[in-house]
Amino acid sequence: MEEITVQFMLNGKAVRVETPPAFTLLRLLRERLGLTGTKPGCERGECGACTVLLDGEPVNSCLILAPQVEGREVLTIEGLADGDKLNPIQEAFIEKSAVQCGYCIPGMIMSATALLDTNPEPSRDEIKTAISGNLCRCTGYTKIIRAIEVAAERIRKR
Amino acid sequence: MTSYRYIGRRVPRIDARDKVTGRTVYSTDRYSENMLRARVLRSSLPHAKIIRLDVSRARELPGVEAVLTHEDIPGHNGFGIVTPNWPVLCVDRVRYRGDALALVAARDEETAEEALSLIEVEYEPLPIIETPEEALREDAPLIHEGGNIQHSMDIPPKGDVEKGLAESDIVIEETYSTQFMEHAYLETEGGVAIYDEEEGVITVWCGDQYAFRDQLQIARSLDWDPLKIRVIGSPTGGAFGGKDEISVQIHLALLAYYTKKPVRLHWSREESIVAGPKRHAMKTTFRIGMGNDGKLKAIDVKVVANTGAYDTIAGPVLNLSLESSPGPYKYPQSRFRGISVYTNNAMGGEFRGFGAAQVVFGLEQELDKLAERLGMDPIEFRLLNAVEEGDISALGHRLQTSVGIKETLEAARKTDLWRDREKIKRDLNAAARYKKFGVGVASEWHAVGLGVGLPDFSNIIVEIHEGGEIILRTGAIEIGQGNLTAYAQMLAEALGCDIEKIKVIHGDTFESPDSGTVTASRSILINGNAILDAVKTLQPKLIEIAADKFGIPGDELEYSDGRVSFRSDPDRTLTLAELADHAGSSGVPIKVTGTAVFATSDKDFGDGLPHNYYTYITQIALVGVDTGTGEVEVLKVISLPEMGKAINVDGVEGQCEGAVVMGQGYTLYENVVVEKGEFKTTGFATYILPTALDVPEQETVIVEKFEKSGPFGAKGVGEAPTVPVTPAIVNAIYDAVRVRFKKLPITPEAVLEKMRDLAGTEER
Amino acid sequence: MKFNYRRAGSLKEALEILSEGDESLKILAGGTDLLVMIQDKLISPGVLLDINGLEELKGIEESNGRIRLGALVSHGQIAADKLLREKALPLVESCGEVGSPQIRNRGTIGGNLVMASPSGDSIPALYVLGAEVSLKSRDGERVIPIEDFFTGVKKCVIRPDELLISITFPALGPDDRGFFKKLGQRKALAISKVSTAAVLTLRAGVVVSIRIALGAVGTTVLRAPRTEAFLTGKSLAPEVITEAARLCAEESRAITDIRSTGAYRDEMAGLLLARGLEKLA
Ligand SMILES: Cc1cc2nc3c(=O)[nH]c(=O)nc-3n(C[C@H](O)[C@H](O)[C@H](O)COP(=O)(O)OP(=O)(O)OC[C@H]3O[C@@H](n4cnc5c(N)ncnc54)[C@H](O)[C@@H]3O)c2cc1C
Ligand code: FES
Ligand code: FES
Repeated sequence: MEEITVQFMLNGKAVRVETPPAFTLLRLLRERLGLTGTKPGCERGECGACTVLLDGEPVNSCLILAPQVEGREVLTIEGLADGDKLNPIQEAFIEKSAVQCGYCIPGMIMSATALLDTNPEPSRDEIKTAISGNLCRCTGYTKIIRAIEVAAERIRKR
Repeated sequence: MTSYRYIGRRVPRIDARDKVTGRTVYSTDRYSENMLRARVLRSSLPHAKIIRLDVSRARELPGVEAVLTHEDIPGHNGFGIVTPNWPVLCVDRVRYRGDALALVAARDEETAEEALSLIEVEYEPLPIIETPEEALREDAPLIHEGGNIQHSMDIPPKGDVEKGLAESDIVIEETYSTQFMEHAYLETEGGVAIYDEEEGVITVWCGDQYAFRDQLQIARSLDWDPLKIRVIGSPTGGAFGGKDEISVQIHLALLAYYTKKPVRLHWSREESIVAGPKRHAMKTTFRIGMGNDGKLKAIDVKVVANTGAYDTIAGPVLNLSLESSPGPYKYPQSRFRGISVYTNNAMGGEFRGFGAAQVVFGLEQELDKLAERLGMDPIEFRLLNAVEEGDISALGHRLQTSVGIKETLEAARKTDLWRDREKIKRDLNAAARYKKFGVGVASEWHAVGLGVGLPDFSNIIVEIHEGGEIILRTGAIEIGQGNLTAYAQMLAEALGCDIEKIKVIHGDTFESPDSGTVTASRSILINGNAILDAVKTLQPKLIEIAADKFGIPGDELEYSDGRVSFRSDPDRTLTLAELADHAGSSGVPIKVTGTAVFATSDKDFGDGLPHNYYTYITQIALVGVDTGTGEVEVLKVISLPEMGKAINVDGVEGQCEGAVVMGQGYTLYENVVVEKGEFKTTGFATYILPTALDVPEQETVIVEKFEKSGPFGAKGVGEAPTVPVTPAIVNAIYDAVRVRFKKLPITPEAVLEKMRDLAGTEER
Repeated sequence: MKFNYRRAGSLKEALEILSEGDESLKILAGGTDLLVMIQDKLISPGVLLDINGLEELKGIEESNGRIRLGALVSHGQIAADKLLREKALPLVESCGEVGSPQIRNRGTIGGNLVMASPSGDSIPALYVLGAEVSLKSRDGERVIPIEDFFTGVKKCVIRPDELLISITFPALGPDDRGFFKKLGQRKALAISKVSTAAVLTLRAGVVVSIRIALGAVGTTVLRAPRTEAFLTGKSLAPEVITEAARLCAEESRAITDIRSTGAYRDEMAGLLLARGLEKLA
């Protein structure tokens, strides 16, 4: 199949890239754009490891075709920190030891980012719902939920 | 109490920053120009003879760089941690649905995929053996020439168990069965290999648990010098025992060797479920006798494991089932017998909790039943029978390291949840329309280390470089458990330096020494001791360097807190950086090796039994059972582990929290369903893991006990908390609705049926 | 995966393309079913026609007491919509329980209907709301009552040259009540083992009319006419609810599969109805 060109905003910068039409956004990010922070865990929408924000909304990048992001805005884990300065969610994940093997963590942080962008004062249940599409096999979620609560508090205080 | 700067505190993980920014490079994150994509052809039947295997059409497809079969394996066509009878590529027979027949490497995934479809295989189906019962029948076809019993183990009996049972006032007997369980690490098996023709070196990056064993297994199959195989196994996106065995390693090395190009192979989720090892399905029969005084008198255990088609590490798993089966309690008479049986079902293998999860599920229900017969409180009953340090165990060996089971039970008794459980349940019951609540408890002892007679050692290297950078080299793999941070803490504490100065180089057979496998909850204890050993060698060395620099005898100097100073004038010091600079300028790098070997038990029953160290743990669960739907909600779990000294409090809590949810999944949802050798669960839509909305609130109460032979008093904690959580939940369900379960997982359908049966008997 | 990608610029263009009769072409909406089917190799289309740019297929509106949903409206949009919460509660409850936030952000109501899975969560809700489905081809438009739309497991009446454009249904009035309840294997990312939706008009505590629909218990979503008839004209007393649950379970025709057993599903169809009614009583 002939490759096609897509242009979109990726982590705040305009990109233009060739892609096979049947590539998922997940594969485009990893194999063509070198952004391997977005992980494959099932490629069926069932684990959330591939979560990125599309126009601010969390989506499974394994279920979006690369050509579909034409003209849109994609945010990945690599786009969260400002240089060396981490965002409050990343900081809280470190501080609260919410990370173990780390493979689910980029997706988890993207879901948390989408939540706190729209709801800076989430209840514990809202946090759980927001990450309910992100499976983690290591942590039991406890410290992840706590880290998101701590990040929310910090963001509110700013 | 010694006051520590790093030990026993909440220390943020040294690898967390890279993990939250997406910068950590896992082996499956490696891509490069001209990297080939590999795929494996798997058997389409669970049991068959291979009549014909024709790869010629696949080889001709444009874009295909290699198609390999068993004929292309230069060395031994098999792998396995204990007995290497698992074929790298099958020759004339397939024994389960995950068996590999051929490998393809092509320019892209799509071409590789197409090439697979062009491989022609003709099979002659053989009868499919699903269960050990079928495999043990007289007329059963043999899965391996030597017979269908893979391994059997009888621990030398202690006393006369039949007599003990006959003399008991109360004897109960029950059989429990458990399902195959999937590790479900989020990163499936995968990696990349490169062959450097000039150096003759094959490098394999792959998530694993023991790069040095992989190195040997690859070398054996490629007939290659192991020292020319570099395996980099760290970090990996979860392992839980499932990455201790070979998965992609040999296939990758073969393809790199034949194509001379970088090759990438990453299993799909379905492939991971079908081909990879699982927690063994087992059946366990208990006969337990007790006196009217509540003292246990005798235990007779029989375990039958469904091990699947090949060996991997099934023998040791079964052995640990037997060792774990009596729990940390005293029985004057005992007998433990087990067999592990080949089938064409899923592959049984290593899994966090290693044989214990299957048996403790039954044992701890039996104990609750016994306590109930006497009207005793479940914790009192366990306390009455619990072992102490110095006691002879149920198996007959002396418990010569720290034993904290009583302390965990006593701490459990003091928790609000246990103390106020009647009121808590009353309040919850009053507020809920459709639910009944219950609280349950269970305990375990979990072996730490590989066991007597097995090579259970570690080597580590510590270097101090100019500028004061400290490098710790260890072969251990970071599988998520946080061991790198714990090692850095121990080294920083022992050296008295800042943890930020330490860099850990890990899991690379060319860059780090062999520290043994990261399994068996062993890595803190053994690598910690190796680190302390290195520091012991390092300190005199540092003093020697300082003596050289100052031109005075070494005995006028002393080492403390990251510096060497004059005994006579403590303000005159040399820092590590200054020492390293001096050593560097005189051309002597500071580099020391530390080693450690596990101390072993006073008895040797063969095959690694028994162990010398155990984690002791008690867990309490609060559940709500929906009496209309049968759904079980786990509301709260408290884990009370005794693992010696906690090196990193966050680390211990994290291990417990993750383990509890794993145990919850095992208890309520997870099940690898295989019918007639065909997998019905092939992904996360059918293999059900708990989500954030399903999990309990958790608390970890660390019960510390100093273990004199452990680093800073530590043992290990990685596995134990996965285990008693299951019977704790089951005992809590019983407390709520008075039904018991002999089979996992406990689905709402099963709960409802049991409750019906109970209502039926009560009416009658 | 190997296929070509086309983006439809306008409804007219999309319908033109569909009229060409390319059998290897598949319509791509949210992709949450389609891409999974392709990954699982259940289908291997040659071209995907992306309809996400079609404005005519978007939006949630009310006019003259009827609500119109464009086929591309996502589960997430429905779950968060204030108007729908007030006037189509069962639909809001059902879409709110689809998959995960990520799936709800992408999965569309149109896709849920065309997939025609008996466990499609929006379907029982649309049954009890009395929805109609608008299908359009180059040659014209047809409007089909939802209950005539499905013909079997993953089968519906849409033709390959048609697009599902919109779904309409009457807004619920002040005396109307409704709910959707489902049981899955866990609390999120759960395909329904069984689901029950109902809309009823209650006056002075008496059921004036009621519609009940059951998901995942038959080859299509089912109505429960005998249970509906039994409840009509009755007040929601405990013994009435118990009897309704029993009848409803009888009307359910579930089978056993990897997720659950037929008997359990049948019984739960009734139990979910009872629980919904108890809350309204
Ligand atoms: C992890 C996961 C969890 C899920 N959980 C649930 C759940 O809990 N409940 C549930 O009901 N579903 C669930 N689903 C299924 C799926 O998300 C829904 O069915 C969704 O509504 C499908 O919509 P879509 O827009 O993604 O459809 P697509 O995948 O884009 O399309 C599905 C089918 O409909 C056709 N189609 C789509 N739109 C139109 C149109 N306008 N006109 C004509 N044909 C069209 C396509 O050609 C295709 O054949 C889940 C899916 C996943 C992957
Ligand atoms: S990889 Fe996309 S959801 Fe699992
Ligand atoms: S940290 Fe390992 S899967 Fe979440």
